[in-house]
Amino acid sequence: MTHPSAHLTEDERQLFAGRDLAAERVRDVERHLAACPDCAADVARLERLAARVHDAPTPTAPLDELWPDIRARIDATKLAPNGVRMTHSAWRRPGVARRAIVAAAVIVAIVGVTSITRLVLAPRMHRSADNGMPRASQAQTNPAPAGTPALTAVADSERVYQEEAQLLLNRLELERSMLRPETARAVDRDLRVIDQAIAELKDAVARDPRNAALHQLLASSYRQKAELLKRLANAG
Amino acid sequence: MALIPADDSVNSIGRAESDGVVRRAQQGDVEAFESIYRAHAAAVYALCRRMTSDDRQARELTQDSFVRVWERLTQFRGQSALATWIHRVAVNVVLEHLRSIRRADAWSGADAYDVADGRRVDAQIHARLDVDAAVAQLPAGARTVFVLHDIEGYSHDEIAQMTGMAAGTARAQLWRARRALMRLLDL
Repeated sequence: MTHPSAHLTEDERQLFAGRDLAAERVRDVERHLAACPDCAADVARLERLAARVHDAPTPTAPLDELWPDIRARIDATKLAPNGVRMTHSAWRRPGVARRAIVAAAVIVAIVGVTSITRLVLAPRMHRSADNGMPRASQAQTNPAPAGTPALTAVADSERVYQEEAQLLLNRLELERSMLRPETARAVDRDLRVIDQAIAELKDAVARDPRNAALHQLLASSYRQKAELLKRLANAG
Repeated sequence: MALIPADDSVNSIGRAESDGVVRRAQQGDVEAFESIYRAHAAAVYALCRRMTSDDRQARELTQDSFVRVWERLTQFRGQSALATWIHRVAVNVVLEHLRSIRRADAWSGADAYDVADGRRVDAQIHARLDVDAAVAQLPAGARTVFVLHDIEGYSHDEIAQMTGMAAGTARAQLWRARRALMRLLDL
């Protein structure tokens, strides 16, 4: 507004409507708006836009659905070797270093899955060796009635991660040609070990289908497998 | 012009922080972190949804944001409100995403001028739209500046710092975005 009779500039209209105009300019602009219907109408339209935006409903989503994946990714980062922080940006760095981190994570995950599996299955193996006489306490097996909501939820979770792992395996198969041969061999070997741990758990679940702890461990194993495959796919 | 969080959101955020869950989450307590997620996820999703105008991307970016928050939570020193800090982390995650997928015209002023001039708008819009649908029509650069300033309440200088635009460019994008929205919303 270089002259009292001139219209307000775009900056003045926008800043005034957005309540961003410097305090010492507000009075001049208000005086002009009182005398200029064109500028007043334009500023009123800008203010109506601000009101519409303010009153617009906030976008929403079923956020409970997002947490399990976040939790799985957090769990996966906890598997990272000492000194290797598998940050978001690390997975986006190109090249060999990223693949090395992936391989390290796979190996650490294998150790985790197989160790936990053995810890859980060990008492059951002892029982078999003793002709069914249990050594482990009942508390360790954490039985749950079949068909309980908790068991059903775990079984659903297990199925979801199983399906996701299969999809990711299919994708990995498609991208295999992009992996270095030694990396592909290492991934195959590591996945075999994870699958073996999963097979042991499935066998244990078949023998004791009401054991909620075994179901949870199996679902967790699938989740870890899916998560690692996802990371490998994203690294590609 | 920033939108104000709903009372429930404010209360749950306050509860989460006053209960010391931040400290427990910083020490690796995932259950504590889940309560932080539940207090702040709606705001982060809304930010992601408005900046991308895409539900699927918004969900993924919400997840990415909270994984990033988890990874960096030990860096939170309480110098700002947790909500502010999480919000800033989420903005950075979305901006990184937008940069990674940006097309040649995504951040250009020319695209915004096209919308402001109505050359595209007339062909696209035949009726009044709701605000989110109208915002979705904006070019990525103009949409980003509009959402960050008029909805999320960041200053021009903060937006310039976050996006790497000159402050004057960011402001010009905002003016164009508002003009385009006025046309789209039939105001």
